[in-house]
Amino acid sequence: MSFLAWLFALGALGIAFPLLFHLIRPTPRGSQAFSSLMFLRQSPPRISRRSRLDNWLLLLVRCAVILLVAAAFMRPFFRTGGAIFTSDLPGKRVAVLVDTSASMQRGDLWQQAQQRLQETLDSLDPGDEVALFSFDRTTRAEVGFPQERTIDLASRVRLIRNQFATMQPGYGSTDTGAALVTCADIVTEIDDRSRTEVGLQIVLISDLQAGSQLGALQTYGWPEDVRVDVQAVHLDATTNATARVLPDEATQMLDDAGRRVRVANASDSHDEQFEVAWADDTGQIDEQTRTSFYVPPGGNQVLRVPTARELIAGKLVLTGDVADFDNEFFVVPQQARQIPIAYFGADDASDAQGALYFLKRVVPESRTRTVVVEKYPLQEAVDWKDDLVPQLVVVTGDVSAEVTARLRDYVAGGGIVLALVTEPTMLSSLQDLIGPVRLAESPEPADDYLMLSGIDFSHPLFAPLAGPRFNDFTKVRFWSHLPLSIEVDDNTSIVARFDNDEPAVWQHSIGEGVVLGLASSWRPDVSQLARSSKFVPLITNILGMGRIQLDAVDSCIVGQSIALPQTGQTWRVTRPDGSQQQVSGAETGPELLDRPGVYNFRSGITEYRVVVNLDAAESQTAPIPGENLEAFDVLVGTQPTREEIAGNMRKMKDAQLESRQRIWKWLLTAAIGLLILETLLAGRRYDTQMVNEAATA
Amino acid sequence: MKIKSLELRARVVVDGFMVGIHRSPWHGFSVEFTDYRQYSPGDDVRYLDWKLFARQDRYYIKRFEDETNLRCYLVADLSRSMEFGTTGYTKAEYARTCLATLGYFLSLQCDAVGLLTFDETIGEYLPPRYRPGHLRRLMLGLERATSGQRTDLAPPLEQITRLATRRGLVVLVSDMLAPVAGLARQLGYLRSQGHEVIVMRVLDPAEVSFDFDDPKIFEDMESGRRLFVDPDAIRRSYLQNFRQHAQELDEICRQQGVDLLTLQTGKPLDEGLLEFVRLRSRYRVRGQRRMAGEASRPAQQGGSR
Repeated sequence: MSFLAWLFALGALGIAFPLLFHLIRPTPRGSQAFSSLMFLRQSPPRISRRSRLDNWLLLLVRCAVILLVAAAFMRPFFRTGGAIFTSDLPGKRVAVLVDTSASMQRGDLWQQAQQRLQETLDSLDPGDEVALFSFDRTTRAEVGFPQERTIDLASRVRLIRNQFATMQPGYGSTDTGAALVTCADIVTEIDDRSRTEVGLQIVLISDLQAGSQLGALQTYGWPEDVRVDVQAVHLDATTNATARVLPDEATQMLDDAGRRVRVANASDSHDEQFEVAWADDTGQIDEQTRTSFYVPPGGNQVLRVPTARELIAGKLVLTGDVADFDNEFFVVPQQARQIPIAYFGADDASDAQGALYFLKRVVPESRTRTVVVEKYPLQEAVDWKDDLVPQLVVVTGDVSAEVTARLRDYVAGGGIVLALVTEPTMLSSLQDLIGPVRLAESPEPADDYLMLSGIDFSHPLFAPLAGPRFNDFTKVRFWSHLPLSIEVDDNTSIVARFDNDEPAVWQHSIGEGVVLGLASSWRPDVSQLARSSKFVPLITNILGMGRIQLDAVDSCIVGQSIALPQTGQTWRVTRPDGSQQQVSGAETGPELLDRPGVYNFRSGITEYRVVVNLDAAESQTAPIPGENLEAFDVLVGTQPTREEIAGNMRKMKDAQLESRQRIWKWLLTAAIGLLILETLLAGRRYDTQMVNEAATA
Repeated sequence: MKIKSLELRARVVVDGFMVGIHRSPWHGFSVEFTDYRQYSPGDDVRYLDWKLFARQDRYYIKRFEDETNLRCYLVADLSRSMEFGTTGYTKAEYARTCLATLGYFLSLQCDAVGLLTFDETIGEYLPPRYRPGHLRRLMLGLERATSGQRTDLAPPLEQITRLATRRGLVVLVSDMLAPVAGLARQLGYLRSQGHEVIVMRVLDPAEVSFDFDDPKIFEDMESGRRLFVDPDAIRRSYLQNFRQHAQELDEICRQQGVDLLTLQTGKPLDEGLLEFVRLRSRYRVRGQRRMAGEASRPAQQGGSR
């Protein structure tokens, strides 16, 4: 016989009570001297010796009642059927997710992570599957799940251990949310494919710093069958602070006045006193620039740190904290970028009534951008050098066929041509460039000015002006235009029309570039476009469509991908450690900018310097509780082991057997019968006692 | 009971009683005529009733109350049960005071007062006397009497029967908490010798009402027997048994012509003394009737002769 609730066996200890009651009689408190007891009789049973048990039958019946009730509550049953063995049960699928972000470089966190991984691997059952993932800003599969379940667990563990030995924490920021989402997707996808219904487990080994990103979990519906076992590693006593030049000054040239620097201290820090100094690119610290900061834990302070005049590029070095991984902040002055524009037209740059006059003044120059408008003769073909390929070509007159062919090649290579078609003769000279455009056969006579209408605000030219505050083009009036008829096809589209429904702006795609045509001009005698507030943003939008990014990235964080200007040649990248790498794509991969420092990009004579720093959030090293993941519906906990599953299955089976047999009913019935017998016995004994009392009285 | 001296205590009670008795119809009874007796040579001729001699031609001596030499036996039960008390003093103290009061009161009337204390055996015994210093000895005898073990009414009553050959007044003070089976026979002996018997039953209020609350071990003060008693559960049967015993006692006393006076220790002593006086006056009336019967009987006998 087995029992479902063994704990109720403690109820059998209740037999101590009848034993106690049979041994210990109630002793009345105090005594009262009375003149004579001749009128009194005894009310309770007479006090007798306490060391002797009497009424054995009554005692046995009472003990039997208690034992029967305790046995009934223990829910007894007879076990039948086969046993459940753990070897018949499926194992778990465990994805170990190791944090390799920069904050894991602190102290012995990496050794702790190795120990946690070892403990996790040791706790695996023979039927379990295991894989190793690492994450910082991105998630990488170091050792994936096996394709077949026949692979020995011991070899998998050995593989993971060897792989982990090759891993080191990098300089990336921490996106814990994205890593968890990626892992959850992988384990559930494999589970759906294999239909094994095993327990899905993610073991997260991380320092769970406050700066880790969890946003990816907000929009993710966490699968119900995936549990996350948070194995947090932490340092008992640490201090971490970071220094950063304020963003608005980071790109300015260094001067005597110094730069404003913010020092932020982590909320779990123990120290409050830090020093910040400038160092050159060789690592030599300028002691004259050393500045003390007093920052309490969790706070920050902004002070101006003096700089040396000769210090052109360098880094800010913070001292005074324990963790060194984020103590350097690299700064380089942003170099001015030249944007060439080619102009094919007959008017002079000083002619206030011409188009060139306004074009040279339309693009504002800034500290990082210099616009150079170069005028070219209409009939002379130009062969641009690599570094002088214009960002934009503006054509305002009849050009030769050779120039047209050259411009077509330029557009096909990704260039942009803006054609101001004001004369019918330009239609023939630019035939190969502006697409299927011809004069309208029956133009409507224009008695008054025209305005733009039917504007396609989804086009990059007008998209920045789509807002209700900017989309009013009624002030842009055109007094003359060229009535055109355009055949719209896959490469040609009308972007805007005049209010008489004739095409005003159209686009013709050739290769990787586009040609924008305007059936008028911005000359003051033709339209008010040049003198309207829309002129500057429209030209800026056209420049933004070019191959050179106007706001090219000079500063980014570790692991970030940046877009590279297309020069038609590969870029040669010199990393901070001096190693070089060739990049041919339009974007750098996340693995290129993998550590803080200054990266040098060179392609031909074009050279960029990109400074890479740690993500500011990575310096927020105060740990957060693992339970915070539950706020995003992540199921924190561990999957049951095979022994636990087998135990649960046994319990379910036992419960079914017990509910079917219901032996407790019979036990309770017997207990009730014994209670009736006890009542009869006790009643008879009481009557006998009363008779004896009366006789003795 | 705050007065320690028994004599002083008795005097306070009697003086208070005397002051309060001024308007009593029995004032001056001791100097009043009670009965006649035949003259015998040697009698004081001052007490000859000349008027009766004139009517009957016989000498009769007038007997007055103050001339009556009453022999009073004060019998005190000083058994262990009399040591019970819930009012601040015990029944024995109350009984001593009561007897001392009676002794003082009777000695003021020039009556001979004797004392006999008993428990299961006879304790003090003082024959009734009326002489200087006797009252003092009586008081000392009452104060000296120690409590015995249990109550046995038979020996003292037999002793009184044997010693008191002359007619007198026997005042038995006891709680009477003993079986009443042999009491009728003993009282019958006393009554047959012409004694007037007054039984003054002294009880504690707790014995009458049995107003105990908590269940306790009740210990018999005489036998030492212990009994667990829940007063709430037992009170009804106790009061029933108590009343039945009182009724039996009352019936025996009524059959034997014995006056039963029940005193509760919670009540003032002068009330008991007043009741005693009332009973005594009843005896006097009864005696006068008897004397009148005896006086008429010789006349009738003489007439017949």
